[in-house]
Amino acid sequence: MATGTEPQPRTDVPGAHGVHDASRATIAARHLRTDRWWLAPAATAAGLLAFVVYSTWRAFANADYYAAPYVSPFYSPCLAENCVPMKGGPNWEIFGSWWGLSPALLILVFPLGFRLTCYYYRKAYYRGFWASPPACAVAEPHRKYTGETRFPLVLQNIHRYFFYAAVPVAGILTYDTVLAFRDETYAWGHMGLGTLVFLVNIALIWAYTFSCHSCRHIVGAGSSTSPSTRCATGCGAGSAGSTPITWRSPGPRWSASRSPTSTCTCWRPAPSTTRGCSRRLDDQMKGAR
Amino acid sequence: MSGYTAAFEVWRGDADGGQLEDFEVEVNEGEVVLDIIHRLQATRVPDLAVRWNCKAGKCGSCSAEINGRPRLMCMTRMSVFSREETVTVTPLRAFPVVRDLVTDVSFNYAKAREVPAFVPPPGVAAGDYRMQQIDVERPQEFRKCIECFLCQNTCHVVRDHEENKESFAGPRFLMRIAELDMHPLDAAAGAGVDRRKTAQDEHGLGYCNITKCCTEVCPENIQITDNALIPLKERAADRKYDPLVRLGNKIFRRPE
Repeated sequence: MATGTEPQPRTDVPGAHGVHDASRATIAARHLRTDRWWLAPAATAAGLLAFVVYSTWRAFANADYYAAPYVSPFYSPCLAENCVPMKGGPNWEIFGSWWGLSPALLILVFPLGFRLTCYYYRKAYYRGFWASPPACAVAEPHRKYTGETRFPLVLQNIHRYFFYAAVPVAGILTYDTVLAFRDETYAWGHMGLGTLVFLVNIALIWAYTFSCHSCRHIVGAGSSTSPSTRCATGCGAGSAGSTPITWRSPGPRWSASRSPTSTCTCWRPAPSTTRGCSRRLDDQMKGAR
Repeated sequence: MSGYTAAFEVWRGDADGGQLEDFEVEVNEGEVVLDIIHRLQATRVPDLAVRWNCKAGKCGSCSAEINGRPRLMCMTRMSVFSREETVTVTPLRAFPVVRDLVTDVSFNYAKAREVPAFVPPPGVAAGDYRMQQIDVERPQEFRKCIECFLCQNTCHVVRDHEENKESFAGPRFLMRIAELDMHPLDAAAGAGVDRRKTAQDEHGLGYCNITKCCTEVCPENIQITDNALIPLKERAADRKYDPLVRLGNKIFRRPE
């Protein structure tokens, strides 16, 4: 079949859609998978549902969240006046006395939003809860699909803002972990099982936060060139339009300043884009010569 | 492993209809599903239509669904199935069937033509392109694609919703857009092509809901979702959904 071929015009047959579309192979079954494809989405849905039920209960409970020196991550930072006093802990009464509900509700919206819009979680809950699709090559039950093109799912695109909010929350939980090295009388030098739980928790939280796809985009993946290239081409100046030159790096001073992955082939910055770090590179190049 | 007789169900038919037909066929050690289909052709059904070429997982021709899973027939060893298991082979179920195991994949060619090609940087001769290895590594991963269209076939956006084929390019061609957008020397922006914005507006990036089936079925193990689609979604968010980025572009006079 030549690659210039145009697709056949679609003939719409009422009641036939998806894998049962009139143009496709006539196979009655929605799928022919013989493995236990349902196990992974079912386990994911069960696990997430259990967590949602438990966390909702704990978030509204407004009790039993502080046992010196440990504070529940759901209630940290505690931003209302109705918080249990935590010596040296993260309770700042920003919301004052008018807030009568559980103080956990004030802060949980950020980690919750971070996870709800997370690219990794999307696979889990779209498959597990929404069956869109339930598994690969298993037909989904929905007649229409618009994905993340419309409200409310188009709001998934604000994931990066929840990442921004999640970083200070993780910072405060790190502070809580440090405070966990006290005993119940607030004397330093204690380490109990709770401290270990806090350490594991904060390690996992930072690993999750820094492995965020938005984080990867923000710290450099959004650019088509690496930071070392941008520096060598003039602090972010586009490579296109620059004048290519090849130069050698004989001097130890210059060699030490290069990334080990770099080669000695480089791009000269266009004159109008020479700024900061590229000027420093030019100076180093002169020194090397 | 000595030879044995396996039970096969192979879909036979055309656009007017068809059904799964049962076969008992000899299997020998080291064989793949395509070998069995060839044996069927040679011994039982000489008119069985099947598309194949290299038999080495590099041409992307022998895509089919084996026990309901989109796979290359030449890369699916018979040893992954138990001897008692009936192996079902059908054509790809997202594309119009032509005959037996052959489907009309022209949808993919139409989508390929809609993606603007690489725009050479002005003033740089083809032989003078210079890029850092670290910068070409990312788009190079996507160049491993053999265009078997298994990802296009398994993507539920078009597999389960024929009407979306008009507005959704599919993972393979969104990956192509990501590849070009990540290319250090692509000068599309200077030529008036905003790949990030058009990915969302014209090629249907918003339809993708990151369920990663394209990555699961890729025979080249390209991380389509994590390395192409999600970065492209983030780049599109820069253009369309992030007011801070747009404000920053205005203040620092970065090209939008």
